[in-house]
Amino acid sequence: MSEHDLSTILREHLTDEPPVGVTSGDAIRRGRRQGHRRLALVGGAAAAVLAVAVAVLPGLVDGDEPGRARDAASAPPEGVAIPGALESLAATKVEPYVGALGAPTWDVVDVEGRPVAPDAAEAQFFELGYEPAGSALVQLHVAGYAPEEFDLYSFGSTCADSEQDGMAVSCEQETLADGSTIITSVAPYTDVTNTTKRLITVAQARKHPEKVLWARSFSISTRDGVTAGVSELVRADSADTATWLVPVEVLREIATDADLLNPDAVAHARFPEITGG
Amino acid sequence: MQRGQRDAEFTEFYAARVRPLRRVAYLVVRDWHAAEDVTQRALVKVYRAWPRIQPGGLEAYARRAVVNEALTHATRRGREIGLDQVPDQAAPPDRDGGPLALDAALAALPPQQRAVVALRFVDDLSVASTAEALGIAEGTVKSHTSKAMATLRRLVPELSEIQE
Repeated sequence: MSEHDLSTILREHLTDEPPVGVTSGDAIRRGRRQGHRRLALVGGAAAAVLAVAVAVLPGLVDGDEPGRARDAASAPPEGVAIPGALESLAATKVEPYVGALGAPTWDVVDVEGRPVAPDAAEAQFFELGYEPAGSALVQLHVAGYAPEEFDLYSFGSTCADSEQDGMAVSCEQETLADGSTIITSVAPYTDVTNTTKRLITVAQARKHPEKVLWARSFSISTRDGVTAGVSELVRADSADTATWLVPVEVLREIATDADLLNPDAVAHARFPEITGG
Repeated sequence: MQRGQRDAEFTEFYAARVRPLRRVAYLVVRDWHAAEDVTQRALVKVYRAWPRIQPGGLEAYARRAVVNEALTHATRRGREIGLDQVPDQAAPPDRDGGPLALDAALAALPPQQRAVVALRFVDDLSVASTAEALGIAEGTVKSHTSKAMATLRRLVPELSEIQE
């Protein structure tokens, strides 16, 4: 039997293969869902809209490519509910712990991840970043998603997935009486800019501690189609030596603020239909 | 890269490659259902990594992802079954040397030898490309090939008679 003979025999052996029972659409949905669950660790940026943003900005979440920050506006948006509420919460609840917040950086996008004006009807994802004096970075997020897609983009297995993938030092998840899901986590990030950061594994963080920021985050996803969250990122050799200044209870107060979770303040566009497969 | 473009490109790649990749997975895991799961898991990873994969490296990336998933599945399953339950030899081949005989003989190969057989003789890869896909030395690929061929000839005598 030559190698050519073996090749022929094996091909014949495989001629009665069953039809393929899965589609490219299944793979795309699963890929987005996994990305979305990881996003819950980013600190509130777990809405469906951000999963779209990740497709546009893949470096935001994982992989080998550095995150690419959009051209973020340095001037704070004015006269709209979410931007005003986020800046107010940062000033009253974060600044007392970290010192002067410095200039804000804004990133506001629609469901496709395209930059839009903060007061635009299609504005679905708001992210505000600061580089305060006492901490490396503070990031606050609010995002909307179609409430009927809650199950698809729920935080369901975020902590289990992160444990399996080695993406977080700690991750605690809880479902509240109203069906909202909250997550408190500590995880390493790299390629951090004011409004982007890339989640990496704890093992990777140990290899390159000089490139890592450690984030303590609180996130919430409500049944009304809103997610919100806040992260404080600090430089440290490990999570054990990281010193966060903002207490977790304060992170929670910010993320669960009624103004941020107002479903009328954000767009709730569904993901466009996935075709093909 | 916009999401629509990414989805369209991935869908095209998926349609072209899912069957060949599933065949490779099948030869490693020896079960069509498991092969489909393994292939789909790998292709989900390909989708997530899509923007970072160089166009010329897409095929190799996907193949490596499938083989890694398949080997992980086969190794884990082997552990779950327990070594004491794995026969020393494959089941006797059927008299005609047909599909059952080949199945049994393939089952007797270690997973990595099956992966080498799949990549070299079903996916038509060179020794160098097989080594790259498996992350092993070319010499190891040659050694696995030689041992696998010897085992198949021994367990399915009919195969030995083909070239004579």
